[in-house]
Amino acid sequence: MSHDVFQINPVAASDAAGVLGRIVPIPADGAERIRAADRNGFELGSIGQSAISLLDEVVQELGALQTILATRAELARLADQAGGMENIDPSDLSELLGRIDRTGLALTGSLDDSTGTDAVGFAPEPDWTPEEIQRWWAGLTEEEQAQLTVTESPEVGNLDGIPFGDRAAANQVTMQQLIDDGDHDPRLDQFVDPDTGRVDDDRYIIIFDPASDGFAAELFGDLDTATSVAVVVPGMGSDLGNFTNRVAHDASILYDKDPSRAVIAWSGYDAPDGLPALTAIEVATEGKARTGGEQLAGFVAALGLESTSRTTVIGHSYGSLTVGHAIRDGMTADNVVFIGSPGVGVDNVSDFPAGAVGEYYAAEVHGDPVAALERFGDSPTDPDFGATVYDAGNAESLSPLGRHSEYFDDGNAITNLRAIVDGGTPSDDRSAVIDYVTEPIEDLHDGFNDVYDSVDRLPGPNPLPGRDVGNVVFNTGQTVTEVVGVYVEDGVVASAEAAADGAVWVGGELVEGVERVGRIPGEIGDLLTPGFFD
Amino acid sequence: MPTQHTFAALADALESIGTELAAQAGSLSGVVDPALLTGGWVGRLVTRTVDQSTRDLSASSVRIGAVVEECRSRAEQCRRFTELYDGFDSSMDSYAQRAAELEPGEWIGSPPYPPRSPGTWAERG
Repeated sequence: MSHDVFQINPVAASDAAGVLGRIVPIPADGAERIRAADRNGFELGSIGQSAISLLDEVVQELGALQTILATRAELARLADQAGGMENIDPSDLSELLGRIDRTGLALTGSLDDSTGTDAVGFAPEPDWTPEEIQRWWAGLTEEEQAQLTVTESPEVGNLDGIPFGDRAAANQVTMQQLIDDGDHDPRLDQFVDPDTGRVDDDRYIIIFDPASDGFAAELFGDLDTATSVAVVVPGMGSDLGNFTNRVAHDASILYDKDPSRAVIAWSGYDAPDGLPALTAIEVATEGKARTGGEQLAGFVAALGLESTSRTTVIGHSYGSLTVGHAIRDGMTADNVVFIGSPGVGVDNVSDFPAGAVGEYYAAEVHGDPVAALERFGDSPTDPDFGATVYDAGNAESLSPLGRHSEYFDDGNAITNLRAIVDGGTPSDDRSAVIDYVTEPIEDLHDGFNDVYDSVDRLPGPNPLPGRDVGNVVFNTGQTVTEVVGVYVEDGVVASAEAAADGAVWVGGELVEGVERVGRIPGEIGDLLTPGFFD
Repeated sequence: MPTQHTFAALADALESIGTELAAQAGSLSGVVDPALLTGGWVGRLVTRTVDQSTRDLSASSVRIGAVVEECRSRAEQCRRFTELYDGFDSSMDSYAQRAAELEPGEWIGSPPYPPRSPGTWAERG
């Protein structure tokens, strides 16, 4: 399966366009002779009109063919001269591609009218399975499929069971039509090739729906050559607007341009809104995961029609709950991976249908606050859950929710994830080794330097109640002097308290009986860099 | 006013075009080799259009054939009418010649009737 959805032999196309240029005058001459005869009293009536009508249509069809082939050949010639399509003058490229699209769309309408046959109806029933849709689609003629790909592109582009290649072509049509319609939707900008100003046909978008928060999915790699396929399911806050920068970015990192691997970024469900993120997870219900699970199960079934390669479904954050529901809705996969999971809806893998999944894996970055929530059941990294827990590495981010997003960063997490997808063995989780991430506090603020030398992120359960989202340990030299719980309101650090009543983590150990020693002024909010607790 | 010859000339010209269209219908798929295009909605549209145009070229050839047949029929009708009219014309000449030679009181009967006007082509169905 190629990302180039329209390939051409430019010499053959140019030759064909030339031949068509010699053919077109023949029916045009026939039509004109009959018209002239009628003007001169030949009174050929309906017989003549019938011939003229069809001859005109042939002229239109062949002329459009000639235009498309000649334009595409011209594009190839310019690309050859410029050293690549990306080097063609953008205005030339846009004009030529626009000519092809306009001609093609006009031709589609012409064919619908000219053949005397009814336009193909979009006939699949709502309750059809992907297998039934696949059979229905395969039963259409290529003409009918091509027609529906254009005239019913929003439906064709998103229907599980229609081949991904046709879906990608349909979604390209949908997006380009939305752009051409002129109502600027900034969410479409991420799919536009800046060199051409048109939809980037190098991207393989197999779900596209701008309704509401929007849905999208993108395939990285080639299903025909890949021996392993992964589906990445994002969590809270994922939507069409951040598709490219978030889940598609993660999927591309996992793909790593390895021809034996294909990865699909699947944002095909309505995930909970994500800001403030931790609060969203805390208040989110299972409803959207339940609905998303049904959709994911359908999609993975459709993927099974396209590829028999080893399949791994990866659920991140709230997406892991969605994956959990998909398994209960009949999804099958060789591997399922839960990362940064607030719970997957069951407390043990035995609660999932037997045989649905070959192997369950789970991981959490140390200090990921979402993974510690267990909002939707026991953590899949819990030894009693029954999943293979692998090493996702140490936290790198100073921000608690930054740690929640480190599963696709360079390091053990992504190395192990690729190993699982490829059928290998990930490295074991490191047991209870707590490392600190230390940054000079000078990087964070001015003014406290004389008192505090560094700030440490403490991993492990949050010892502070309420809205505390993390702990900051201020050290003076090597001596821990205070433990500070940071309070966040509306995503902004409002204040912090030195130490806390009860237990706190100090030096990797839980220290009991710590007394509250006082409140750090609200100016603490000014000490932390923007986005610190995003 | 079209005549036997103009109908016949149009029939000949259209017959040639129809023959050429039929020939192109047979070769179009070879001209636009499906192998030169793969994938994409435009590629599929081109393939589909080649198929459609092939059928339309054949159908055009047939419809032009119907026009050719009609023109030949009309050319023949024109020929027959011309023949009738020529006969009438000749009869009239004879009648006029005999009338010029008539003696007083001599009766040569009614002049020949001209052939009935054929009316419009539409009227002739």
